[in-house]
Amino acid sequence: MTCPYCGHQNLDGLDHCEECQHDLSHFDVPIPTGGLQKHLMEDKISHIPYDRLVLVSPTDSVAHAVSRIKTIGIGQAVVVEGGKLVGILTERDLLNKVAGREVDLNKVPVSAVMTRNPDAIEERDPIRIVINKMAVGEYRHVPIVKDGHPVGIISAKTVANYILKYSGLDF
Amino acid sequence: MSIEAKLSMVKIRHLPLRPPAMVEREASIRETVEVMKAKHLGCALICEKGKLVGLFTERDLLNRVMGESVSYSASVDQVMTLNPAKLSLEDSVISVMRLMKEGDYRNIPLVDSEGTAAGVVTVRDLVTYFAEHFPKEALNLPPDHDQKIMQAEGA
Repeated sequence: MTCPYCGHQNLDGLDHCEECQHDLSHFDVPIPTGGLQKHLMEDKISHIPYDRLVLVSPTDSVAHAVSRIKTIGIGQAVVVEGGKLVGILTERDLLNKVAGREVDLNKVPVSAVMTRNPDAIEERDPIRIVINKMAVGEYRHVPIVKDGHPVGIISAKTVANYILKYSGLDF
Repeated sequence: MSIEAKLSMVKIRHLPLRPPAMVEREASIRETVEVMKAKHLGCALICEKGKLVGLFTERDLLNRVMGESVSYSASVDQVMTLNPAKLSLEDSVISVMRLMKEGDYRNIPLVDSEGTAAGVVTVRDLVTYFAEHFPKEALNLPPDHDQKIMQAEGA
């Protein structure tokens, strides 16, 4: 970007002008013009209804976790230890790590199959953060935490439905 | 222009779709799972002489195979969804979003005018599309002075 103070051509994203050292960071923040853009930037994660949460322990068996997930009718469990988020067990983990193998799922602990230390978001984060995390990290589910404790989970489907809800708006 | 108008003009064939996982209906569940894993996809199109006859998803694996008395050697057509909801490459992105919402689907098979399996569009393809087309708001995060990095990226 062009420095408004001295006219120097800086690379986009620099916090300070390389020439005159003026602070440029506030010029990078887009100002929402309205429509969906405003919702994406200003609505908090807590605006969207969270998906139901199934909590399991790393020492639970995969068979137990699968049975809990199926009972609730969702596709993943959040793994907690001492109330804190330590992992997530998704359908993709089950597909990649246990499906097709002749193993007794009663004897396999959740800790052997789960994805450890998943990326999480906070309730106060704006919705654009979750879209960013899903696109960059290729996740379909992102746990929502409050002080390290999981309080919900948000899915790619929920995000798509949220955008559909506002699709009558201009961008 | 509204988002809806834009998403009505963008056709599914404009999305950067990944090659689908496809098996014939006589394939075993184990073979189907291996094809899904190799393609990094959560569903497989089940075909009969190239024509789409069913869909097998991760959710079907969870609900109809895991923890049930079904062998991975059984043929996939015993546990697939017969005649799944489908669209064509010429349908719009907004039609995918509506169908996914109505049916609570995450994967929509795509067929040509003869019913031949032509691909699949997933909810992840949609999120990637949004992120790439609303880049200022989603992909390129502006500095947020209140945001603290609580943990390393990854997982």
